[in-house]
Amino acid sequence: MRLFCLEVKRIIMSRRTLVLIAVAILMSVISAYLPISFESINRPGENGEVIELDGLPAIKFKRDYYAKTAGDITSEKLAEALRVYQSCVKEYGTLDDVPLDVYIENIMAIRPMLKGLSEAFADPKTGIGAELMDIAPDEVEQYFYERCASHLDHVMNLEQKEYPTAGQFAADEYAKLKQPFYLFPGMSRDAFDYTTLYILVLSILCTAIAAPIFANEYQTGSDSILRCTKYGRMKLAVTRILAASSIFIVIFVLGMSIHLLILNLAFGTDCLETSFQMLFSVINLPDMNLGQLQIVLVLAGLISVLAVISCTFFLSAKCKDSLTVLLISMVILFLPIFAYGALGDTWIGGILPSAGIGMKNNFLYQLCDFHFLHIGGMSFWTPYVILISAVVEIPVFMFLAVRFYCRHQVV
Amino acid sequence: MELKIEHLSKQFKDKKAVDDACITLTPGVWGLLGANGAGKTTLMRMIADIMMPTSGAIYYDGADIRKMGESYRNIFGFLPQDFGYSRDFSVKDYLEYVAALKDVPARETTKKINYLLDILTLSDVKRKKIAKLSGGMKRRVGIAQAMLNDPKILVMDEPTAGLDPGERVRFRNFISEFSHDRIVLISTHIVSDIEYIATRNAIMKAGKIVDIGTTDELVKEIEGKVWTCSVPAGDLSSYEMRLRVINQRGEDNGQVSIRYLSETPEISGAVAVSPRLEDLYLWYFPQENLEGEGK
Repeated sequence: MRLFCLEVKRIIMSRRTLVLIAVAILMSVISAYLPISFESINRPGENGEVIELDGLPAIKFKRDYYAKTAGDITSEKLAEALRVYQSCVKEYGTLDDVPLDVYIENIMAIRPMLKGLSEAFADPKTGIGAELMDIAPDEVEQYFYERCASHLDHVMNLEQKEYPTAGQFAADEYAKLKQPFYLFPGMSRDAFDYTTLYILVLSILCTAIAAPIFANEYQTGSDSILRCTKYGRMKLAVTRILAASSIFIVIFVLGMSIHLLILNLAFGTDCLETSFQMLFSVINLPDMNLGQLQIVLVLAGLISVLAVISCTFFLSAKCKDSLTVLLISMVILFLPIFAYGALGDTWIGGILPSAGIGMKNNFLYQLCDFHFLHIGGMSFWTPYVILISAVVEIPVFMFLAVRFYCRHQVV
Repeated sequence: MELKIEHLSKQFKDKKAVDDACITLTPGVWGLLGANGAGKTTLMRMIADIMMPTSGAIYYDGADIRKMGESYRNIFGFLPQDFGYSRDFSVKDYLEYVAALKDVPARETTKKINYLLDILTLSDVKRKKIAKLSGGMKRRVGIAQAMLNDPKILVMDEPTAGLDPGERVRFRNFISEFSHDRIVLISTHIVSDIEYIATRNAIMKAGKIVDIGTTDELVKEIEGKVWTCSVPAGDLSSYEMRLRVINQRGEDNGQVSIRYLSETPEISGAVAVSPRLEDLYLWYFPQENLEGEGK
């Protein structure tokens, strides 16, 4: 424990670590502030003028406004909303012609509800969403959730035609979803995008802190002294890895807590009850609400970050200088982003420690999508592949780091 | 207590750095002398068990040090040639860290650190960052860390490099006291640092240990081969071409007193003088110019 505390102190007291921790905290605030600042709404003033609200006032206006319509999205409620929408649009010609005050009074409240209808009633052959004016409210009332399930089947037929096991998996998962969906509109999708972006930032910062953990000692020659001490081999390596990992966990949890606290205070915790499907796609598979999604993203992000830094520990124990370790670690960190862009879903992109971190390939997007990796006739949903790979890689890379550190020879 | 080095060799790609070294180190101060590239550092690294020998083994009281692992490192102290440290460490933090790695009990650590800092005149800078210390101070921090666990075996590679004459004298006295019932192995170019304190010396040349003995035993080998005489200052360069002049001192009368190594007197009037360890060193390593001596 004494060595652990001294090791934590050694890492924390490094100027480099202090700067990177400060950047991590600053970025948690910035990445929470940006999606809040993107919120905007126009509303009519008392004299009929248009008042533009941005940021927190816009969010507050929406929260008060949407509170009236929040609740379970039953087929009946959806059908009624569609009827209101269609009658209003018919009266003025097109949606763009509806006056702002009428739009806010009649349509704005039901728009988030109607978003899923286009998808559920999409053309089965092309997957193109239906126009709201072309959907029959009676059909919505009778078959909305059945149409969602059949649309999922169509999508799986389009995307995973050759892999029936993938389609079966999707159908089984979808059947488990809690229905009707729940909606408290207002939470921004941008907020989730920035959460995943912040996880990428944290990965970069933690990698920068982890890179010199062993390699710097090799580089400065201090390793020659430390490995001659009683606890200078395996115990030092294990303690160093545990101390660094503990610091990363604290940085991650602290950074994410600040980030989510700001977001949730701004957008309100009521929105977190909303079903995953009501913010993203009505045919998405995750059986969770947005609050649970935040927790899942934090846990998956933490696992991915630990996998990335475990890999960095291994490289640090293997390579002789910090810069080389940092460069290789960064390549590994960004490889899934480029691999996804160039090749789409591949096993290589899926099993890398950083597979769940990035832009289009990140864990959130994988949850929202229907990407599967296949071995023979078996199909594996990419979020599971990413998580299982990362969980396996953490102890493997840490073990290799200890082993390579112990076997290191001074030259 | 003995540390037995048996047929130890280390082959790098194209060079045999240590070639079949055999020596048994017993308690006392051992001086390891050799020119640059003689293999001293490689030998010390293998004794420190941070470099794997190509062949041969090292035994501490009959036990292979590689198999002893933690128990060997528990009685071992090492100062490498290049003292490395994390840039963010203060002297005190660094020594506390190494003390924990050496399993020095927490309650004794502060006392031990203060004692060593006092002996090595570092007390005033204990809160300073090591990176901001002078070369000599850094070296002394290196010496302090090596001694934190009161090692039974202390290996120091060029410990006096960067120390001023006063510090070197204090270091010699400290090591002399410390070496009682311990094996202390010191490699240095500065022959005078070990001449008076070394119980025995080992001389390495081209990876081999070519000679072992007490200072008196070793210098006997060149008895009658160290000469001194006065020569005209104008002729000095011609003497330097012909002879291995190891020291010269100007005199008032236009003469220069020279000290040189030779099998025979070579110059009429030359007088044989008592050899010293540095004469032996230069006998073995004629290319060395005793830079470290400041002569």
